[in-house]
Amino acid sequence: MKDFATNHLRKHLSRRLMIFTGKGGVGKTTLSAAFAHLAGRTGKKALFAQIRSSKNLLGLYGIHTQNNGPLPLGPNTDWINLNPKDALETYAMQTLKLRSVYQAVFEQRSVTKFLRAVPALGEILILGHLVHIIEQGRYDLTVLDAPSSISGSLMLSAPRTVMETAPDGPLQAGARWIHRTLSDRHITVINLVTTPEELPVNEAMHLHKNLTSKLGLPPGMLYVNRLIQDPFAAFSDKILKKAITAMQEIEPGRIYSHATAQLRAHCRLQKKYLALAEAKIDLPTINLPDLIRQTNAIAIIDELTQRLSQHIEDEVCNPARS
Amino acid sequence: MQSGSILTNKRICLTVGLGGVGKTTMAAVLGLQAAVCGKKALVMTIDPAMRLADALGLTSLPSGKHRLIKKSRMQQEGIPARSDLTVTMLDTGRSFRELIRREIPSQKARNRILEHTFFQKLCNDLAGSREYAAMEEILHLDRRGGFDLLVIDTPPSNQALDFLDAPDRILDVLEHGSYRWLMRPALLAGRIGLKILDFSGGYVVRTLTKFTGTPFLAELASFVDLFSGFMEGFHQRASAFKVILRSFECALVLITTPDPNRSDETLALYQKLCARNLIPHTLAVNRYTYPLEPLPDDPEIADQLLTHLGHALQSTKADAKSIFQAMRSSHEIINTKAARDDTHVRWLTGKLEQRSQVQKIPFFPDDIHSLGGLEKIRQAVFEPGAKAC
Repeated sequence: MKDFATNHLRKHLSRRLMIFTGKGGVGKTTLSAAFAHLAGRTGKKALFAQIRSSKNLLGLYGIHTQNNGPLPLGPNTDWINLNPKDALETYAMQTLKLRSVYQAVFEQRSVTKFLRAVPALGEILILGHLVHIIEQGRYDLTVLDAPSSISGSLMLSAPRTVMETAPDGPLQAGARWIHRTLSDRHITVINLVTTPEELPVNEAMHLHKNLTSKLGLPPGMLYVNRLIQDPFAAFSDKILKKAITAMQEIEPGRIYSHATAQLRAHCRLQKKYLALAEAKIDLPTINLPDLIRQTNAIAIIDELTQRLSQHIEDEVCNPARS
Repeated sequence: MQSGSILTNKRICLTVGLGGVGKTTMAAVLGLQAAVCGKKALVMTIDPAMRLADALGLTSLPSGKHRLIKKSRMQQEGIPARSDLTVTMLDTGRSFRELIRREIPSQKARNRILEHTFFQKLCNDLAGSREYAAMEEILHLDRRGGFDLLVIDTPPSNQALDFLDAPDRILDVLEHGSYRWLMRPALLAGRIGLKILDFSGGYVVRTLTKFTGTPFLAELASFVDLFSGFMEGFHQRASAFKVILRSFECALVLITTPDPNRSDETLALYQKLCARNLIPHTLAVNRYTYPLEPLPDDPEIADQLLTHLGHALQSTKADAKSIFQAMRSSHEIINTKAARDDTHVRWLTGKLEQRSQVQKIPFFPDDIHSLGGLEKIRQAVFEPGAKAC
């Protein structure tokens, strides 16, 4: 199973666009950043793309700027904050060629206000910018930290919606062009991230159905993040119950019983949702631990990068195993 | 506790925050608390996912429909409810259709709008349109009356700001009058079927059509044109909503979790809210792990406990030492999490304005997405101060 998933992992790293999506708070940002760093370490030129982010990730690296990038994030790895304004400028400049024309039209208050009111235009512009970057070829791999679930699935489905509703014209053509890239399995892969909890798993199931079955985007892997290591995995319920009861009988033992009962409940719950995710989401799965000892996001990204690279290196060192 | 006052004298309560922090759960808990206090409350979620249905343990909740949770049903689950609770999920299309029916008196004009292809698009839950629909829906419910409290579960952060900015965006477009002069040439083109560039002032429009295409702009223009004459009503409601959001009767509850990745982003959101003069009433820190009492550090006591455990497990052949070790590590895992949570909450609360309260909500290591589970959270948040409502 692990080797199976590892094979996929290596394959995905050779695509041009890795998208990570899932419910908010499951660790998409740290995981996608780790993948960008991982690609960078293996000698690829990688771009870590966030969407309309409050630039928190860059802030974590001590870089405080109003610049939306691309800016260097690490060896071989750049960062970009995709947003409708920059996307429009990039796109407009390509079409209009002349900056003066761009400024005359698009920097008018009334025009910007008007464009903000056009539904789905922001999404199309952002995705268009992304596809443009991929086609430019400056980066071997772009890792997209997609917005959480609902807005994420709205964003990724925007090209399809526009294709189905907009009349012929540049908007329609743009949507088609974006959808071609997003749905090409030689270029793109969509990964789901979840934690072993009820709502994140439900949303991952929902997203899987929407993005792969309905929109036809190429499915990748399921990452189950933040698994608490279960110290009781080796013991039966019967023995544990006995131990809990016994320890309750004397005063300081009560604290042990309490801790055991609390963590066991947590582990049981995570086991249940891990099983549900694996049963309902038909994708190769990689489990990642809850790095509770790490207190800052950079340390978490570093450790995840380390762990993911071990996944790949294991495979290289022990080809016999697969 | 103090946060009983989240609901005191409030007519509207909004839960905001990043994705996955428990906004919907908190909205549901606030609704339950209102029911316990004997207030008629409505909980509305804006997210098109079936989140509220999940959180309330309801199997299906058709969007746009109101569902009544009877107080007897809540009492069965051990919730001391004194009022029924209504839950609903925003249906963008339905809200827009009802808005048009309310606001456009002429049958003919109404039908032209409802049948316009652009209107269908707006109803399609396109990004941006649901935020606007939500604003109109809340305003409508608030004006119609019938509820003592409206609890609104907003979409995650960026979209929540879109939602809170919705009135400004509408006001901007309307006040600037930009739609009129932008649209005029396109309108004419759409009607007469001529190329836009034939008309004066068409330079901007001509450039825009390079992006959107002429038919699209003409379509949009003809849609906007249908509303001319009714704009005043839209303008008034957007202004009214802006005032309500900032009034004493509206409480903003910013929800977060104590993850290391979250604190920065939550603070950024908090500051953005304050910059809009939307100062959160409460910062609710969800899934907070409280520390356990420390283990005795006297090795002699540990030895005694191990011996005791060994006796108890004698008949089972289990290795008492490794079980004892596992029990120790469970304590260590919990307290490591607790220490991390504490660090992040301290950091965050140190940066808040004085007016915002802080409320920790304990982590429950079992299922909470049922009425019974929500009740556990309600008690943890409100019970000590139940009188406050």
